[in-house]
Amino acid sequence: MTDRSKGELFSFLTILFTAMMFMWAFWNFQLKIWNRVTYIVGQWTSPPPLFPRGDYPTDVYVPQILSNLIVMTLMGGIFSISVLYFYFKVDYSKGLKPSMVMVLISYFLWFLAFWTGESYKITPNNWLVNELNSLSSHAWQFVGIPLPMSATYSERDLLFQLILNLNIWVLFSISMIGTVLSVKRYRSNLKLDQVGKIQDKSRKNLFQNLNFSLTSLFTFLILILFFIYTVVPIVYTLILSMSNAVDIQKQSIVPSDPLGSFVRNYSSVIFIINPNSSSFSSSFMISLVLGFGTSLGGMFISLPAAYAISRYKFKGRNTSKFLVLATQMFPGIILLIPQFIIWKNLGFFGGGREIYLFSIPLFYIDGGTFKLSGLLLAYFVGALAYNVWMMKGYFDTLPYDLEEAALIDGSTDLGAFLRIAIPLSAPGMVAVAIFTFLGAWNEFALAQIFVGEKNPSSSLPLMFYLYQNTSAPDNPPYFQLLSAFSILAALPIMVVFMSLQRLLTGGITSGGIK
Amino acid sequence: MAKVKFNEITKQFGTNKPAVSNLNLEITDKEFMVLVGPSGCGKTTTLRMLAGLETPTTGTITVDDDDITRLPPKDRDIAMVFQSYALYPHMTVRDNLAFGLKNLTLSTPQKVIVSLLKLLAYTLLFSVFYAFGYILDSFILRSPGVVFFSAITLSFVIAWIVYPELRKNIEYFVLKFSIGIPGIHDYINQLEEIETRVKQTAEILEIEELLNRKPKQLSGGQRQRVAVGRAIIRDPKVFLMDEPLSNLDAKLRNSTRAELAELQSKLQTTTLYVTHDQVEAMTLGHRIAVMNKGVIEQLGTPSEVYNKPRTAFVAGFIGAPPTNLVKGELTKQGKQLLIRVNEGSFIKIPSDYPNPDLLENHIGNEVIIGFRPEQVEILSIKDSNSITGTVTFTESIGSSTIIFVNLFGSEVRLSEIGHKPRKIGSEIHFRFSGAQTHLFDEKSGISLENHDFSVH
Repeated sequence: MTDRSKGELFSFLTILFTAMMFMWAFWNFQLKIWNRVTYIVGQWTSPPPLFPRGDYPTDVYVPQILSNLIVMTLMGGIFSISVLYFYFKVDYSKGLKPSMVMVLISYFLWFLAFWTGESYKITPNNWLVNELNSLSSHAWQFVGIPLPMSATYSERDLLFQLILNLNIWVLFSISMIGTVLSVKRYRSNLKLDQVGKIQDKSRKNLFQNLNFSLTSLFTFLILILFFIYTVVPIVYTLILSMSNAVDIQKQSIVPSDPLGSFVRNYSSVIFIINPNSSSFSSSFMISLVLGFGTSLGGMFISLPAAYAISRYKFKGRNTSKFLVLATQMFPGIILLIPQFIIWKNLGFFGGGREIYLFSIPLFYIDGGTFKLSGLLLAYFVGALAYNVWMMKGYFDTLPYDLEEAALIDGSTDLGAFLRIAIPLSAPGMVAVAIFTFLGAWNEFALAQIFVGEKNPSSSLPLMFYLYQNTSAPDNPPYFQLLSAFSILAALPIMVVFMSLQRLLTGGITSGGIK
Repeated sequence: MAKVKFNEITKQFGTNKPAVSNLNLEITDKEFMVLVGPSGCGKTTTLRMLAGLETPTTGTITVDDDDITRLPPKDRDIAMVFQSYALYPHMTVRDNLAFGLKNLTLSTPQKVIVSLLKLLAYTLLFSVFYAFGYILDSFILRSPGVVFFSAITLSFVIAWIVYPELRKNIEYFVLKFSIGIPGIHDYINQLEEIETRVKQTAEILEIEELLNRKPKQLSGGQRQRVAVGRAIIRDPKVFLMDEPLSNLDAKLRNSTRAELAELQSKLQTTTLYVTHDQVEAMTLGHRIAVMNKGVIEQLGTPSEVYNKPRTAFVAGFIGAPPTNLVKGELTKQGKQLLIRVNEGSFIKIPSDYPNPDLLENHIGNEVIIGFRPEQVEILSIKDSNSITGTVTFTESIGSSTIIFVNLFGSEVRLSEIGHKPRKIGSEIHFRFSGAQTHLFDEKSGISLENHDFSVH
């Protein structure tokens, strides 16, 4: 990745997020001033205010709003392009980069999302209100985060909340998709020593070199079979998440109202909570904290150990290597009961000698208990062996020459480790971190014992489990909601995989060693 | 400005035969010393012991009479060019060059203060992001930390990782705003000094336009220059070079070799150069130490090593094609000294051999006679002093032809300027002068001539 493309990516991200923040600021605090300005400007240009609200008439001309959208898109685009040009010195002499088109498109989609959010709001008595009412009759509490049960909200308030939330999710996903796409775009421009060459060749010759002999046909058949095995459940989940209750009852593969059901199901999952459990958003955050915590913390603990085992010869090296591996030889579930007892004695379930230092970072989101901290510690322990062995393997592939050069250049052993070995092992670290993240994200058994699903700080798998089991006998199971839940829970992993994939390609050490 | 001395150095890996045994070597100030030998002879181990990457089993190494045997590499003031160049692939050329200087010139308190300041700055930045995201989330979603918090902080972290300019800018602002803190002013001055040194070095090596590139964007020759630059920028007491030219193509190797020699004579730094290429050794070294199996076989100037090889190994190693070595028994027929190779086949020792008296004691012993291919005179007709062999093969290398000759069952090579067609199987007559005849004891391999030099 060249400096220039890095600059573009970085500026793209920052501009996107800065613009997001600015727009929210307008939305929440500056709306009146903004409307006043647009009203005054409107004297000449005569478009309606961008975000009709308050005193302004609600009948809005679509073409005029569209023209506003385009103006806003161009403004945002020009802003970001000029920042790129003046600050990052991006060269536009060869025309507009495709990435800039990407920026413009994402801006357009972004404003479009605002606009659609508004259009829901200005139509009274739409399907969403009905849907929400029907859901509330099933004793589902909704909107964001626990509201007092006694509080009454007008439809308008609820709707306002909902639309705001929806917008945020749309924006979040659009920006993530934009990021991923732009990263992909930059990746294809890379000129890596080996990887790039191979990729280009395979891309060109994949279809040219297809040779339909019998064996290749057989291979393709097997591959297609496996592909079906892998993909059909995912596709079926997607279809289910776009169906409504009637479709599911009929067991029809083609949803009758995919778009409407899509919006209904997904928004229900995101914004509706069970009073006994946590909301989707807080569970989501807790899973994120557990995932990132496990991958970062596990890495922090295991890197020095892996480095020492890989680089130094000391007494007990092989023994310690084996002991680390030995922890992986038991199925995790066997260790559950002893672990539980030890953790209880350590005070992670309250009323003991709490490990304050370890628990402080998670104490607040944990609702004043130490259960999540204990769970995180258990995840660290589980991830340790894998991390140490994988990172040891990665360090073994790094040439020791570089660290020797650093030693001669005046750095200590620790300096060589921190400034040479760690930056160079980034691809390995990312690979390992992704897998530990996945492990923590999907983990259920430990979480169920340590935290429990009926806890305000339960993770996503626990919440899924709760949903599965709390369908009342007189109600049909909400398969559509469960499917939407699954898709939403799988989304971050896809984002993580795609955005960090760049670092997995290796090639980072090429050039240092002839 | 340093002289290096190896005293009785032995290095043993495990219980194997020692890689270097009982080595004594003194490198005088400003000298270009070349260690040459076949692979596995212990030359690189010797170099690494001087660099501090290996510790000798016994013996001491001194630089300017200071014992550095047990010092860590960073305290030795020694720079090294690796065979693989070992450029830091994640740093630009500029950072590669500045890395050593930054480590060695900036004091630890300064580094600690600056890193604390950076930590403070990052904490502030992060807490601003944290608070902003938290507030936005609380207002909009009523669930802190879900969208804005994670998006803002994550995007900052990603930008920090992906975009090094951002890091540099933050560092720059930290330094700029904390200029009043004691030590920071000096720190900035030293950074500027390092930058000027980097530019000077780049000028010397003509790599100014490459400073912002990463190693993988450089060609082999450019990488080699950067590796040399990383050594010379520190102005160390001793340069160590571990086969720095072995990865270049032949043409580039020749030009770079000349440049290295010029650079060393300009910088006047004591240099220890390791190579297995005897051409490099001959052209570069002020003195050459020829190593074999962990011991120095001969130490001397290139011409000494070439003209007066102390052992048969040195004679065979130095020179291309190598010296012809033929085994035989030293005998005397009347006044004529002969080498009896086989029953009935003799090589006459030329009558103008400078000191035949020395050989009197060795008559009847097994000896090795050596003569260089390029010092042989090829005759068109047989005469009384000539030696006759059979041509087995010829090899033209442009300016000259190498003729492979079967001489009494052993193969010798003769070099002839130009290219004359020779029939394979035909007889060839040649002779060599006494001054160019080398005789070695067959058991010890040491020269029979009493050359006036010592090994150490």
